Amino acid sequence: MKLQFGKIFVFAVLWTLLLALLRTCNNNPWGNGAAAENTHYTTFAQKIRNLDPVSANFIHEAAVIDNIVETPLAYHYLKRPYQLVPQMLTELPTVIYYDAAGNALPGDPDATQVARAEYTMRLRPGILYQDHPCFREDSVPLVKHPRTPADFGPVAHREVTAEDFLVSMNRLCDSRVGCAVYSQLCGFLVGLSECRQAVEAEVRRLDEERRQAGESAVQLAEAPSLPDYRKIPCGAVQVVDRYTVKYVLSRKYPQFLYWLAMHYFTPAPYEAMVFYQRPEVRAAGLSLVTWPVANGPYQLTKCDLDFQIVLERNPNYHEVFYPAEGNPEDEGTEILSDAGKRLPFIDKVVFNWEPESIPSWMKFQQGYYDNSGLPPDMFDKALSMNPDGGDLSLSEDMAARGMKMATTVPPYSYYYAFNMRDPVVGGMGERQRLLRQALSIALDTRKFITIFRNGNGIPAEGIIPPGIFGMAEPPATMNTVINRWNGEMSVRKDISEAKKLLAQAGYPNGIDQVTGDPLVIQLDHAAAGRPDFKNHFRWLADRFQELGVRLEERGTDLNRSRQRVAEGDFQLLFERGWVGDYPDPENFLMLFYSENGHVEHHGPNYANYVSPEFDAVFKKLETMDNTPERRELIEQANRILYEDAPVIWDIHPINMILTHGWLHNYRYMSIAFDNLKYLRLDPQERSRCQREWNRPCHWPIWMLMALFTLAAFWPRKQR
Amino acid sequence: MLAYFLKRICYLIPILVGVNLLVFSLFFLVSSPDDMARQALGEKADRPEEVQRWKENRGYDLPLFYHAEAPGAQKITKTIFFQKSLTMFWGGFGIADSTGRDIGDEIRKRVWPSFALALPVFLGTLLANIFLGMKLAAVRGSRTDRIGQFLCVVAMSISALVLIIFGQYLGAQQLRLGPVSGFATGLAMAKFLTLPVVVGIFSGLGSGTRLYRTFFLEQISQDYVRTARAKGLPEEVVLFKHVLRNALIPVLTNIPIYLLMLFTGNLLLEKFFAIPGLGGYTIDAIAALDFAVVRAMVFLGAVIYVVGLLLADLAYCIVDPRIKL
Repeated sequence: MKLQFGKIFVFAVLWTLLLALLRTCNNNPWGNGAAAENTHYTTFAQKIRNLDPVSANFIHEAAVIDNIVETPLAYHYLKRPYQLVPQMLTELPTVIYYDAAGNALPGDPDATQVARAEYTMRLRPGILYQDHPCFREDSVPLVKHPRTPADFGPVAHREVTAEDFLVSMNRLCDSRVGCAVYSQLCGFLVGLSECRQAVEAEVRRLDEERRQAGESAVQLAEAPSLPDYRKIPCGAVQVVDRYTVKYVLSRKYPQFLYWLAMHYFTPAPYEAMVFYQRPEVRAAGLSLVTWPVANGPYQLTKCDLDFQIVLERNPNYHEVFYPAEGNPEDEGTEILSDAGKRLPFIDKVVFNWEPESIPSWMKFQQGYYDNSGLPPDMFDKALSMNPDGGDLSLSEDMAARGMKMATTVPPYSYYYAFNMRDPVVGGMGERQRLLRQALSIALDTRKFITIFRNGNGIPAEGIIPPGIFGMAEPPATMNTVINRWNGEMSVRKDISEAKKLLAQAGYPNGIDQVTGDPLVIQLDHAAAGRPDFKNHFRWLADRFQELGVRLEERGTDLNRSRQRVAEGDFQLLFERGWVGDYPDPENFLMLFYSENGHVEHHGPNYANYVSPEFDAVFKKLETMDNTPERRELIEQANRILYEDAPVIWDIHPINMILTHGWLHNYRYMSIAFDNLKYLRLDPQERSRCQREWNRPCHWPIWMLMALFTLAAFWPRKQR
Repeated sequence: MLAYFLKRICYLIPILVGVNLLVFSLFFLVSSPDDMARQALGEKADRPEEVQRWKENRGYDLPLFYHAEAPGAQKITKTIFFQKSLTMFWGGFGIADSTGRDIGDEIRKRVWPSFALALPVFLGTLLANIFLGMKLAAVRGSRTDRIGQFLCVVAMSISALVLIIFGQYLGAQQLRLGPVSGFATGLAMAKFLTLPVVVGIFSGLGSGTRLYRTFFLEQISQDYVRTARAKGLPEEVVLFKHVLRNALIPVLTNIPIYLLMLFTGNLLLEKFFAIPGLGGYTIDAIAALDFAVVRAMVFLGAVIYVVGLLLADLAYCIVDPRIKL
């Protein structure tokens, strides 16, 4: 047999290359040694479009922004129900109420007496902004093609002052910035529309000056004029002195304090706006939308909104300490082991874009992400249900690997809304009310949660989620119209009760007594793309069918659906969700206040429910402190809603986050997202686990190569 | 050839205007500027005054095609179609509606990851399809050919999505030879792209091999192949020199489609492997009702496709000297 030296040489090279290649191959996306650094790796699934604290409006954006900026108030990290604590302030703001004549009203006056409210907040001196070239006292040099603000050379910082809150508010009023909550703020802050007009007038004046100086319309469009926000007076914000700010409200609105914990109320340095106005900075696409300048615990060092966002510890962050107390059950547990230590603990946070849940989950399993949500497909693998109590816990395998699970019932409520303007299901007549009650009983959400959500949710009694003032555990606040107490828990009434109510409503066995036609309800939705929708709808239709009522789907796209809702062109609306803005019952009960009716007033009352009785109770409780009287009024409001049943109460979801054992102090926050500064890592443990869990497996590759070599050298028959 | 070339370039202008008009009409047939504003603002903030403000800030408060109240030429120029679609011919791609970022910059940034993924997938798939198609054609009718065709049908029947998930499971989870997903620049890019490239090549093998086998079979039965064999040329030379060159014309016809993908990205691969390319950019823009990005990407796609077809025509002349343009 002739020796094939050429082929032997080729395969020798191939084997050597493979050997060298496989020695370098591993599945570590961060590179060797990264695990041992004090860096937290996490993900974002939805595209982040905006990091400007004034105009960013989505929760997934807040998850990043809230760790860069700092707000005057914050929620206590450990205590639940949520409690506000001063963050940039020396104490909680003080409020003085005034009547229409301008006289100060003592104590806690009735809302009808109050014509103006003034909240005074005193800043802690010495709070510094993060380092940024905009604060340099010398002129910032011209840099061609900058990629980040850091490219402009040395950086500086300055102290946060009261004037920065005026700048922030004036900028918020600038319509070009696009603050989505401006209209809401106009509802309680004094003089915002006048402030907007003043800003617009100043912009027009500056434009005119530039035109006269010879600038073209194109130049004006490319570099819009920047008004000096420091010099425009704003009725809502008064700068008392360097460290004292006064917010002026047009009515009694104690919930304003919660707004002070939202990123819209973070201070803004005017120097940053001037810096981002520079032509080469604008040309490079750098702006407050991508590179906010703030005073939070972290600062941006990489901002690729489509791929990766990197935050690093802000060296100028003022003294903030880990809380010394939490809930009673936290006493003596690990979560308080860092009490009193200075924050933040972690040096660097890397947010990676992971649009698909399965790859993200795999990386979490491999230890390359420190925390992860739970994809629905992985539910059975990751969790096991306790056969006694029905509680969910981590699977043995995952628990053995040191993983932990953090759960919370966030202030979210889901419901199916009836259109109260619809002649069949809407209105306040006895017939329609009984019909709505019957349909509400037919949908047993406890069963739904078991079948479709793996037990991951709480059946809603009403609109207020658990953990919010006024919503005690059943049976105290049980919805007695649709539920009964079985000795242990609140369960749906029997379907026979629903049939009785339906018959009383004039639809025995689902047949309209007047016309003799079967009752058909149309379900409006924009959820056809949801993988579970077909099964969900089938389940709903089957439940209604038990009453003899036919449910028909009326699907469309999201925008058409919104249009129909805006016009009141629907009967029953598929699973609406309300994410609470702040943990106060007012933020939930207002969904049924008549002046928030969606068709009439474009408000969030999507059912268009109008009840003078409910309105009267709501107006009373709206501005009250959390007193026993308020609790009684909330119960009264709930009872009215239970009776009228303008919506079918669905569920309050349970959110879950899984974390690895090396990530400490994780407590789920669902209202604000400034939790990164509290987290602590054990990088050595992470490094060890990653190595142990991710040893490459080479033998299948060697086998394939051997087979390939054998095939190449196998003697062949010559034709 | 120059005249032909210039003529084809001239065709490009009406094609692009037509494509623009079509995209504009289709987009605004299903979505109004109000829809775009509501989508951008989110449900809690979509009050009428905010919607109006959003439209004014972005120039979507104008009529679509004809501004009856405007004077003179402004009846045409003060419209959304003119300002958003036609100005693209001389004013660049402009600013994205949903992010406010420069679309040209975004495309320049994203085209390289897309290109880095699509080029090896394209070359690998092309070479593998030619090699396997040729090998199967050479043993046509044999047991190897039948097994090969059967495997091709099996490969065609498996969806790309399943292949991606299986590839990630096998390569990153079981063998642990590469990261599940992600991207990096420079040399580290190879580490992240190996797995998606292998999956991309594999997902195109079934249909490609069958198609190319058909092209080669057509040639193998020609007289010149019989003559070459009769001359005693080795089978490799017959196949890879004579048959391949003559079968290249149908192969070239397919290439502009791949060329388009080189620049506009492979949606599935980019999404599952978290590669920040152009594939996801278009889809995100459609989901966000970002007309500015949609029309820019369609415009870019149309240009690349037309240029790709032109280059394919020119390549015919090189491959087959009998063809004259």
